[in-house]
Amino acid sequence: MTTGIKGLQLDRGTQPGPVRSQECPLQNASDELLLARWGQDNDGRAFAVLFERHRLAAYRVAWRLLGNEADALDAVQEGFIKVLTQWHQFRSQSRFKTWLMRVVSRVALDIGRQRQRHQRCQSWSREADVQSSILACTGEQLDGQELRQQMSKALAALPELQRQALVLYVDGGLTYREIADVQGVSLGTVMSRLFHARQKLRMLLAGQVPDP
Amino acid sequence: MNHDPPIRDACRRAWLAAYAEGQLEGTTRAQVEGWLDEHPQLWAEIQEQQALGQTLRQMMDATAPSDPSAATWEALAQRIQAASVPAQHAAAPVPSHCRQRGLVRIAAVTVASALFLGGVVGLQNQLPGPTLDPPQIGQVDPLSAHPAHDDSPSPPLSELTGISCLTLVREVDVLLERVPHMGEGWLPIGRPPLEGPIQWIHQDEIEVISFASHSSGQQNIPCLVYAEGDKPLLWTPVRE
Repeated sequence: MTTGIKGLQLDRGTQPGPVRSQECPLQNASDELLLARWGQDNDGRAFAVLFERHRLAAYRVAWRLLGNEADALDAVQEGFIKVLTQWHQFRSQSRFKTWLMRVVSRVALDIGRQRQRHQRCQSWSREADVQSSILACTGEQLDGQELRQQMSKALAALPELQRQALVLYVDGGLTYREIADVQGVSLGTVMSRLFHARQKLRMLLAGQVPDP
Repeated sequence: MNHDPPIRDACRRAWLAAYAEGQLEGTTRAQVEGWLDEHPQLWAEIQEQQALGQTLRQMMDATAPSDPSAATWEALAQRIQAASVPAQHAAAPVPSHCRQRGLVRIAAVTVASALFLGGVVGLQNQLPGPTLDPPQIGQVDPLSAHPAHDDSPSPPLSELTGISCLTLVREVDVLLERVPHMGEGWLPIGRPPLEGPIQWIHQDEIEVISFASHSSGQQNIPCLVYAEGDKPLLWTPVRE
């Protein structure tokens, strides 16, 4: 079953809903062209292709930073709205994807901070608690759900900027250089953040990550 | 730059990790390859970092969230599209040099108009000359223009040359909160209020490994690695 939303074609029957190539000649267009089409002509097909192309990476980055679907979808929504309404501020010095990931990850971190103000008692975000709970599982292989929980806890224990860098690298697919642009720091700082993030994850996930 | 075996240095391990991930190019890549030539034992570190990176990537792939349903995506797309009517008055993105030319033209037209008007008024009033008010330079409402912390890619510094007053943020971009024990004012914040004095990083906690230029145009930024944490740091640019 296919539904149309002002030029948007989403297929309910498959996962994720593709924009059918024969229906959308913009399928192979660059992100920058699609953004310009959207901004200048309010072209819903251009929006559909852009959204389809980047929604999953944006969602995964937001989910990693927030830990649940509802908040992650809020971050994706707000991030897309920001870039689509401020499309004229985009400059081709960086990729559209880098810009989108910067916005979505910032929104996600803001949502996370707001949530923390209201729920300051998130015990598992404290490193000591994380270590003790994860180390309790050391030596046994976790099933999928448990591993996901442990990974979420371990990521939550990282300093915010290390976590953002790692998530942008692994889930967002950005390069070190692009992460440096997103975070406004030098390449060396990104190297440092990712290195320390991996080392800390290795420590926190001891038993799941083999020692050297 | 010290010449100790680099494996002992966290910063060089970070470089080796970046090399292992294939993320270095140009001079940084050549620098690491120089270390590897000089210290072949570092290949073990490269292999270790490769293995760690691969394992963590596999674990993160395995623990990625399940995708939202097609109906969820569809509803999200509808909400985004409904809320994202693009600003129709906005011009298409133009290269920075075009914007600079545009600014120069606007400035030239403004100056010419002022001179012309001044001349006309001066002729009409004879002496003492034009009585037009001076231009109100620098009186732009600092809370009404573009945010510096916006999410658009940063313009190069050269593009900002000649702009006398840069505004920071609009009131809608920040959250104003009264910070305890910080006087009577309200401070715009991007995160919860600070709980105490900022702890700056100490010199002995960092190692400067080289200097670089940032893509924003900043020069002589120290490429450094420091102990865990993200304490702020001040530095003096290197004079060449």
